[in-house]
Amino acid sequence: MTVVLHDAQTIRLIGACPAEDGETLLQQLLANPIAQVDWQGCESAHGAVVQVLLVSGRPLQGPPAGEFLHRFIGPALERRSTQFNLSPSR
Amino acid sequence: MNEFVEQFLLESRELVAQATDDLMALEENPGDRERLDGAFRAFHTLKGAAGIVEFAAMSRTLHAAEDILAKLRASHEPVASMVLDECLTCLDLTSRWLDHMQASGEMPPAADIEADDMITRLVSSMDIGEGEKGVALPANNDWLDRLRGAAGGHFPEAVSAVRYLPDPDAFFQGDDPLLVIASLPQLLTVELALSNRTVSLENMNTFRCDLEILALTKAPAAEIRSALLTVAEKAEIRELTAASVSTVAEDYLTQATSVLKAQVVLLRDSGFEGLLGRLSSAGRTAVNALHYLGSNEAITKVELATSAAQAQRNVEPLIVAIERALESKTKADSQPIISPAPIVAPRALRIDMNRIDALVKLAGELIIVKNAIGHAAKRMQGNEDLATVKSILRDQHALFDRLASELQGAVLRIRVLPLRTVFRRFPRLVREIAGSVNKTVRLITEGEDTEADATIVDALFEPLLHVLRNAVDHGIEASERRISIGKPSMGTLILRGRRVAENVRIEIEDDGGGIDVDRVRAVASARGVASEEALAAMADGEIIDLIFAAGFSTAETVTDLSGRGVGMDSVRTAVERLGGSVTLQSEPGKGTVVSLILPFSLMMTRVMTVEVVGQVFGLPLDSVVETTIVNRDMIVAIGSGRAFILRDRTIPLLDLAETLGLARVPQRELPAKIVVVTAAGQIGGIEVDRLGERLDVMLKPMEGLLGSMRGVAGTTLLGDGRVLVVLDVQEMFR
Repeated sequence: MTVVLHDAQTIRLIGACPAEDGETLLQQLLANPIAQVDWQGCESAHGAVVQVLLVSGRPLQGPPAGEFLHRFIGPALERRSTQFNLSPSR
Repeated sequence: MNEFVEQFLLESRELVAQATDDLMALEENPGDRERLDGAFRAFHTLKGAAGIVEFAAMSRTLHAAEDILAKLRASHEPVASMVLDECLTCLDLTSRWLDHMQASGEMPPAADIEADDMITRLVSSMDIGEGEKGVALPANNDWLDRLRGAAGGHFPEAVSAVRYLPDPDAFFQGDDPLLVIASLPQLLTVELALSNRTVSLENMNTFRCDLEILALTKAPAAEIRSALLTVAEKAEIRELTAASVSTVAEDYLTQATSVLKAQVVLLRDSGFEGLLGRLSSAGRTAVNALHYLGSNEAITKVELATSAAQAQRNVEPLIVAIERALESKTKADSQPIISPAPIVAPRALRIDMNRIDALVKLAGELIIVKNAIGHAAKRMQGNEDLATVKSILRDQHALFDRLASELQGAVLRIRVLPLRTVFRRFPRLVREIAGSVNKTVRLITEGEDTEADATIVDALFEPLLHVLRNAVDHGIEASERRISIGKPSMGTLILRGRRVAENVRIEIEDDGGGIDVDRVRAVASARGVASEEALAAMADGEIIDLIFAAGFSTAETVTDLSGRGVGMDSVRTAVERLGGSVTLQSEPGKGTVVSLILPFSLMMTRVMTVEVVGQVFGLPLDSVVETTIVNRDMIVAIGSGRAFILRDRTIPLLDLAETLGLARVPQRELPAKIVVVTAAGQIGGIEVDRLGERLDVMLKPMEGLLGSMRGVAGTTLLGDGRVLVVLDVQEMFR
């Protein structure tokens, strides 16, 4: 179990998140519309998981543990979520 | 314009011409590998040149074309004509950009948009050319901009950009597209987007990959290509050029610095072989890079070090100098770079070394003559026998005369270009023009080696294009019509250049329907070009000449080619401005020949001097047919003018004094001295007081306030210091 609902406010990503976690994360996000995602414990995330994060535009609590996520994916998601917040209609 | 840009323009034009030649040859013979290689090399060098002057739009456009040519080289199939067309269009666009830079010294403002458009066309031409194998990537050219925006100018060192659109089934197949990106060498930044904008949490399928991944890396495109080999058809890789990602100034420095660093590596790494050549090329390259940085002090040092290194046959001095330059440059990095102010300079001309050598030799001989004259002057002071000195002076004058005319000839030859430089652009244009009006026309060029003054050759493009357009649009009949009258369905145009005495004659011949004199007459009357009576009195030749009258256009349908309100009059104006003339012969049903007769050189003219009321004037010898003396009783008044009869022909006569508004007492008793001239195909006589000599002169055109003065072709200085006004005969008889 690498996607955990910590409380109604936070969904945690832990360790290495495989493709299947995308679906789990999606369900959690849908069930908890105001929850943020905490990925400080996330070592790596499959593209499917990152895609869910990208679509959600939810704020992320980081930095993530994994180097690639930290250096490249985090900033990219951050730029996206800013855009989402600026233009919520999209 | 700085010297780099000047050099760039010069070289780029040559490369464009070379690439065009190769592509045209490929079109004829799509399997010609040598031409394909040639075209590829030309595009490659052209792209490099654009990179050096930081013309990013040009660089990336050419890069796209180069990519296509590289693919064509790799495949062993004949080249599709669609692809060639786009590559040629790309060269046309490049030419237009070069023209703009030439004229304004700046890069064309719309270049970026035009480049995007061109790249899309190039890419899609390849898709079509490749048939079903077409790249799966949706055409989308804004990704570089988005990536640029994401990078925010933080990564000036970026070398390649990647756009990766994974297969929608990638997740299903157990692939992780992010792992592919993570494996890229020297990754700088990643940008994520959704290829399907309508995806939301509510409707998304987590097993369908809708990611669009963009990345910037420091690794060269080739390296990225091999890293992405497994997903090659889903990825687009671009080598970045100056200013496409970072700000101009940053890249400016990075590029020049890397050039300098490369020279040091080159010098260090190689053995003793070819040392001198390597030293000089490294030195030259370094100087070029430093020029670019505007570092004059370093340039001198590197130049000195190059000679020192060559003298010592040792690379060290040059390495040290380049490294110093690098150090001082890095310190100066923070200072803003002032780009050189654009100045529109006259076009440079490439000249055969032999022609320069001939000039040097002549200069040497002239100095010998100068010394001999000085010597004669001294002897004269020394009270030497006048007769001896006279004969020495006469000999030296003869020698001087010969050398001066040789020098003049040599200088003029420098300004000479073969007509090929303008002719070569037409075969393709003619084909395009013909295609747009659904006709098939071939263009045969003859006498491309005929030479003419560079200014004339340059100025010929527009008028020739206009005549060719007219020939295709109005001259050559539609294929069905041609077949029905027993002509080959393909029309033939001949573009012919040849030297005729002091002139260059260019003929444009078509095998079309010829000119319908009655229709020209009708149209001229309808448009009020001339009155009914005048038209009725005109011979067919004169009627045909009306085509050159301002505002005349007989096209029934206004195509987008010709018939845009600019008629053949613009051709005549352009050619006359160059000191030439245009004539037209037409045979109904057989075709039309338009002849452009141009002076060989704009600079040198042969004139004949004449005197009237004590003043000397020049008449261009080109237009003089003969001189004659006619008894007064042979001159008759016709209407308000006068005419005389020469060999049973009535020729209108002008009195030069009267025409120029000079007062003089009519000389009734003496026979009239008459210069017979041709003007616009007609013969006329000019009465003068005295006939003078024949001179070769460098005609200076009228400038400034006098520039608009009519009837004067230009001026020159006579041996005694007087100004000789050379008259424009064409204008006088108008």
